[in-house]
Amino acid sequence: MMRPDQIEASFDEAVFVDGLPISDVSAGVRRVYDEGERSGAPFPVTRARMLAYALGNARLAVNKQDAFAGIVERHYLDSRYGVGEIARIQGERAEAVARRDFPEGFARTNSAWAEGRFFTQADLSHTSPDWDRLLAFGIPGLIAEAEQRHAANPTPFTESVVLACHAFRDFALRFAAVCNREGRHDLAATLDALAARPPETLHEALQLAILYWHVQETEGEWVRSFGIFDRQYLPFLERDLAAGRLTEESAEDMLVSFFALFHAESKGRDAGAPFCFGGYLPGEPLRDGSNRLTRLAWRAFRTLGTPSPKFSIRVNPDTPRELLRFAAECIQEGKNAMVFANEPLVRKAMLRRGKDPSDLANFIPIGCYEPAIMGKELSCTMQCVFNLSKPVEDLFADGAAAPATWEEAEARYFAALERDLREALAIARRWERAWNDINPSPMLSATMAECMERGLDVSQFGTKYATSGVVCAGLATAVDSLLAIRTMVFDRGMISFDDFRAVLLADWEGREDLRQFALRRPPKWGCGDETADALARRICDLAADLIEKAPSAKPGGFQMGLWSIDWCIGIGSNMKATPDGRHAGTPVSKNSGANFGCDAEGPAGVVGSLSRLDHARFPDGAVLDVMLPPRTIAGEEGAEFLVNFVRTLFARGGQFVHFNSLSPDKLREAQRDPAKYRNLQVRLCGWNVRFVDLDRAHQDWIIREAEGSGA
Amino acid sequence: MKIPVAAIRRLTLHDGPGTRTTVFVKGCPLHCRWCHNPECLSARPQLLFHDNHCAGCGRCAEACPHGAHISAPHAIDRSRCRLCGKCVDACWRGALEICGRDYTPEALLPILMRDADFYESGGGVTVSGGEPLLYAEAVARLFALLRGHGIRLVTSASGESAWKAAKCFVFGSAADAELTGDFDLSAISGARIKHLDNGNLELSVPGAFVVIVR
Repeated sequence: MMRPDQIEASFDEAVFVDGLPISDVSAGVRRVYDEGERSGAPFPVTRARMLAYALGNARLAVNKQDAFAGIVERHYLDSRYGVGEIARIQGERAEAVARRDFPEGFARTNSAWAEGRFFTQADLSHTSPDWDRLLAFGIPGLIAEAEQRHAANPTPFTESVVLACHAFRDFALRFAAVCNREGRHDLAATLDALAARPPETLHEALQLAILYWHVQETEGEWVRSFGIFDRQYLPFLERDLAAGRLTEESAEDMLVSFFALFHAESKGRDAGAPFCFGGYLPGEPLRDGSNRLTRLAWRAFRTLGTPSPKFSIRVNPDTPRELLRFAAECIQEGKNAMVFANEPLVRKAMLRRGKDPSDLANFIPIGCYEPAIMGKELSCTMQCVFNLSKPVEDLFADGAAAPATWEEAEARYFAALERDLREALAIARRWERAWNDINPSPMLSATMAECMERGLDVSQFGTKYATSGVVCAGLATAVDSLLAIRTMVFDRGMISFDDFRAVLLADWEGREDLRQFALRRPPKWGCGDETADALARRICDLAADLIEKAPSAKPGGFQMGLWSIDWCIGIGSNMKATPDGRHAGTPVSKNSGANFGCDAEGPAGVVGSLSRLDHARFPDGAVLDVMLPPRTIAGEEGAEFLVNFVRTLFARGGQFVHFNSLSPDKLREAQRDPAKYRNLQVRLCGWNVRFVDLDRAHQDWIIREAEGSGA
Repeated sequence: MKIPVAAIRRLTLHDGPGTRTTVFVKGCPLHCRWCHNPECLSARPQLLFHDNHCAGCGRCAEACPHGAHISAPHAIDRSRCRLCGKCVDACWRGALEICGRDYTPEALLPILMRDADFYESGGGVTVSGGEPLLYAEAVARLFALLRGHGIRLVTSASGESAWKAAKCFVFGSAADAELTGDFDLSAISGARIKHLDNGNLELSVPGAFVVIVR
């Protein structure tokens, strides 16, 4: 078995033996695109041809010791490398569509973001194929279905799907030829088999997943879930064990090599490859599906200890305690690339949104912690990012009269919140139909049963469900700021509203005393304080009402999320100082938790506050970040505490939770001596990174979180 | 029947098995130099001063009707302090705090039950201090109330002067106490607990001990 660092090196030192340099692939993709546009070909067809060109010409490598064929030079997707032609074409088309169809809304979304107010987009990055169908059909099955549909009723969509599926098969065959050339006849045989039939062994099934991953991401959509891993691949493992092809030990080694590929590709510099585990099986009565493959995969995860892949566990009352305990021990070791999902709560949220009970067993977190139905849902979970704290800033806008009472101030906040949300949703709606013009996705659509039955691309909402997520960020900043105004201006009369405006405009300069009061004395979100919690509840209820009822181009409509990932840094950088003691330009609160340093009652207080919210109203996800000092979670008691914490939070109605255990001193030392802390990883938001790879702003943000410092 | 409480800490992991809430009572017959909870030595309420939060603004001195605060640099003349709390309210930075508030067992019950679901899988409530058995009857009453909700309990005691109270406490002979069941008494610092033929217990030498109520 190769060690993770050897796999990483094997990627970095890969000798490519086929295909063209990246710049030539990018130029070729552009040529195919230009020709398609010139000839007036339907864009989905052009898009499939671009895919075929990229897959046909990207450089490939295979090493003597590789367990899978998986090294593909595919930076043409990523504009960071200056050769991201597919990403560039997406960007150009998105802008052209927006300027054509809603120029004012497009201009407004840019100006609203510059104010830290909201951001809307056509979110192409939160998708998952139907892994069950992909594994059952294999490449030939997908081709056969596509050709049959195309023969029966030819459309640009069916033509694009046929082209994409053939490109998939040609890619497998080209990789097989490369393997043969390099003397890896074993891998070549696997790839040839996958071109001819569905996978039969675990190795074949995993190899197919790797190929598909490259194909879909080359098409232009990130694979934001690899499905419910232990359920999908168990039959393959069991067949191999029964036939004597694998032992548990050799299967575990294979899984280490498989998962390591995802780390080697990204080295923690993207949002991680997401794999889901556990949870209820289809059918009644409900039974948890954790199995021997769950244990093998988690052991492989622990062996690897890398930022990617990232794992999620669907937790229900029947989840084996030993699995949670194993996850807790990984966290103790700093291998914390994982999130826990409250399955019963997510099911409740999905039922509320009209999803069929029979589909709920296929719930997966898409991306970080956004629930969706695998293979049946187009979930653009970041269609809109909305800042709940911006309307507080508006209270202090130039020329706005000072509110006479707290009630008036509060009412004005809610009115501004409603105004902004309506505006953001109206623009987000215009983006919903744009995906089809930006990046039709025949490969992804080919895996989805309903897309094929209806003859519609995912971007035309061919899936059974289509939803748009509205990410609501900055709850703690909003609540704490409003209650600071109430306490300081109205209850204690410490400062007039107009003087407060001047203080905030000056970013608290000369008024550190007031800022310290704002940080330490008023009621705060996340302490179980009844006033703060009731206000948070009202904000969330209003936002959820508006979001759920907003007109949407999609059948599933808009749905609220209560999280921020690291958008809270970007949002904050565009905001003035806020009354909660926050300085201008600094991040607003993270995800659904308390402001750093304001959780005076510790995690129990945060859980108490969160339990006052109805998380079933956040079908786009809601996550709590828990930062604990390493000594707190050490030893037997620490591991049991983590398990107990997850169980209790979920019993009280929380939705997702993940953990960091970091010492601020160690993080500061890592800033000073990065080489020594090369492998120190942190759970940034919904993914893990190596701390030393973060920019200074992100590093300082994590240090503040670790030291619980709001100052 | 009251317990003077210095602090209530939630989700503690090192005051007994599992995830717990720990109540730190005020008052201790010992005055060990190494005491790590010195605010628990005196049974009376005290004004605590967090000097790392103090900016020396003098608002406490302005607010104090008794002249107990001296500013620049800040100091407290404790002989003048009447614990009225006006300085605490006046301090913008939360640098002052009154430590010590009396609770009846009934008033503590809902506070300790907030986190009852965290106690599952072996946790519970610990009464620490200070010396909990200075208030043996009240703590026994609190334990009886918590046991009524199935909460597992731990208390730790110095053993110096409270052994007699502890025996009352353990055997439920204190007024209002309804404790029955099994107890683990673990002696620390070299003391041994002897089970006597008459069913009573005896501590071989004075020393600290921990009572775990099953």
